This record gives sequence, C-alpha cells and structure tokens, in this order.
Amino acid sequence: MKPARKNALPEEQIALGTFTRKEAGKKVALGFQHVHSQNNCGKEDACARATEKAITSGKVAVYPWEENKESQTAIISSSNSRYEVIPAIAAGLKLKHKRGLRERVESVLEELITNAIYHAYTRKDGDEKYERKNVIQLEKSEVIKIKYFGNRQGYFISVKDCGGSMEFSDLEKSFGRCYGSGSYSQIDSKESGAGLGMYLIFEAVTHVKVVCKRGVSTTITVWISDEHPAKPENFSFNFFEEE
Amino acid sequence: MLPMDKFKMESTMANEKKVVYFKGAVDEDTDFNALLKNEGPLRLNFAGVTAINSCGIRSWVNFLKELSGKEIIYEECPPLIVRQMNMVPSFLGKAQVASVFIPYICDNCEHEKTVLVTEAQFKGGNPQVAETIPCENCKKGEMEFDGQPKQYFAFSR
Repeated sequence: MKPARKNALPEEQIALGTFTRKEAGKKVALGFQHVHSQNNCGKEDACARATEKAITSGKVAVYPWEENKESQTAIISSSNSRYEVIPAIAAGLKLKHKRGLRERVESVLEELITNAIYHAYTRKDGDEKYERKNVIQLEKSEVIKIKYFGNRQGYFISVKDCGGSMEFSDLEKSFGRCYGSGSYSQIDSKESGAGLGMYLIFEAVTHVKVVCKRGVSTTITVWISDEHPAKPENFSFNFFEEE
Repeated sequence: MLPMDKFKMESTMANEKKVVYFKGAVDEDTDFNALLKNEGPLRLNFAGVTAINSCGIRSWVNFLKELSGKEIIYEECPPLIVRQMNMVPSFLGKAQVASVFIPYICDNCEHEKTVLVTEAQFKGGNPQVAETIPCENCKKGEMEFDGQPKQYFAFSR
C-alpha cells in the first residue's frame, strides 16, 4: 500500500479532527488519503483506529460499518441497465416511504455507476473507452458489480469495476476543484464531469472507502447513515491502493 | 432516473407571465438551448424534475453562463433541487428563488409530504417555517421537517 504523502509517517497520513465537509475535502486535495472527522465527545473512533492499523500493517482496512453477511448483489452490464437496477436496489433497501434517503441513495448509485462505466475503462492509448453521450454495452469482463444491504443504522453500497484506472491524484484534483478557493466556479466544461460526481458522493454519505488495484479493479464503498443529519461532523474518507 | 423519465420543457402563461416547466430527469442528454429563444425574464418551474446527476448539474451551470444578464427566477423547487442549490452555488448563480418545497415526515406513520413556501418565508437565510405540522395520514403523529431549516435554506443567505 503506497502512502500518498511521500515520506510521511503512518500517523501523519491521517487527518483526524472535527471538520466540516469543506475542510475535509481540502485535506484530500492536500494529499491526505485518510480523513476522519468525529465529534463523539472523546469516545474512541473505531474507524480511525482501523485505518491506523491498516496503514501500519500495509493492508486495506475493514471498517465496522462494512461488516455484514447478508448483502445482496446486482450487476450493471450496460449504461441503460442502471435505470432498472437503481430503483430495484432502492426497493430492496425498503426506501419506498423514505423519499429523502431514497433520493440520496439513488443519486449516490447513479454517480458511482456512471463513474465506473465512463471512467474505469481505457483504450490502449490511455483515453477513456466510453463516452457519456453513447449508450454503452459493457463487455463481459467489464460488468460492474454492486453489493448492498441495509439495517437500522443505515445503508451499505459497494460498486466495483474491472478497470482499476482511478488514481488518488484524480481525487486530489477533483476535490481541489470543488473545495478549493473559488469553489464550484471550476466546473469545467472541457473535462467530463469535472469531478463533481465524487464531490456529490462525498457530500451525501457518511463514510467512503476507495480501494484501487491498478489495472485490475476499483471498488468504492459507502455507508449512508439513517440518522437525522444532526451529526454532520462524523464522517470519513479513506483511499487504499493495493499492489 | 428512467429512460421514460427523459427531460422535457413545457411553456405556459400564468398571470400574464411565461413559465417554463422542467419535467423529468436532468442528465448528460438534457438540452436547454430552447430557452435561448425566450425574451424577457425567465421563470423556471422545477416541480416536475425527478432526478439530476452530476452531468446534468454541469450542463445547467454551463448553460446559465449563456443566460448571463437575463433575469431568472426559480419556482417550486423540490428538495432534490434545493440540495443542489446548497451544494453547488453556481447551480443557482444569480437567479432569484421564488418558492421551494420543504419535506416533512411523520414520526408515527412515516407518511411523507412536501409543503410549498415562498421567498417571504425564507429570504435572508432566516426561515420562518413550521418545524412540525399535524399528520393528515395517521392523525396521531406529528410531521417533522425532514432536515435542518438553516442548512436547507443556506442558499438564501
């Protein structure tokens, strides 16, 4: 696992504190692969401990919010299949009568899936293989796998592509655009998406974990808390690169 | 966001003013160019918008630049549009917000409802809206504002 902040000690790779989303986004833009914000009045942050342990051991952390044996699965084989899969997942998570949460979950799924379809796969020259304006039929080796489950505390969603082209520098740039000075005015028409998708995901969820295996796969896993947003400071962002 | 939910624009006259109704999902395929033909102030009704993704947001933000200098009014913005106005300030730009829907949810039966409020009730970021209303569904519980008023109306500051 490669630290993004070169030569930094393990404990210097994690930004720990009580942050606003904007402050946390700026931390990512500054090169912190791990940002933990919590306002638990001194109680131990189990997620931050898991991150510290992972950095020290060189492995990818498994967080308390990820643990469940009964996740359901879905497959995305084309850009149009998301129009059936996303509502089906929302129904599977029993969000029919929870409009606010349902919109948030559907929005996050839309961004995770389209991110995977249009950015994960590249041609031999390194350019992105698929354009947003086209209806895409993914090859068998490119299908996107989704896992999801819900409980009383919230909703887990994991989206995995088989491209593995995401790099931490992509997130540094997009968070820098969206959270830097003159924010939002840098939604650039020249660049596809301008990183707005990851920004929307980061703003909507409680925890984000990105695991990249270069050239093999990228898995983005999120946890969306069912709580009233009374604890906006309790969230985390973690990026791991598997070798 | 379903293919049958594709975006469309419809115009009508209301109180001698032209209103353009946005309906469906706003995404990478949405074309706003028809709005360029309108003269005078643009009154845009967002009540029928069912979804919006990052590409749709970017398309709208870039299109707003082409309408620079024009008087634009947003009305009947549903919660998903209010969320974008708060998360991406350039989504609103210099447009005026005439009215928004605010979401309520019953603490007893989980019935959901949106209520329309006008600019007079939220201008200046100091919302004067009910935090609870009686539930018309179960008639037992109270419907709470599904969010935090100051955060929900952050766009109006």
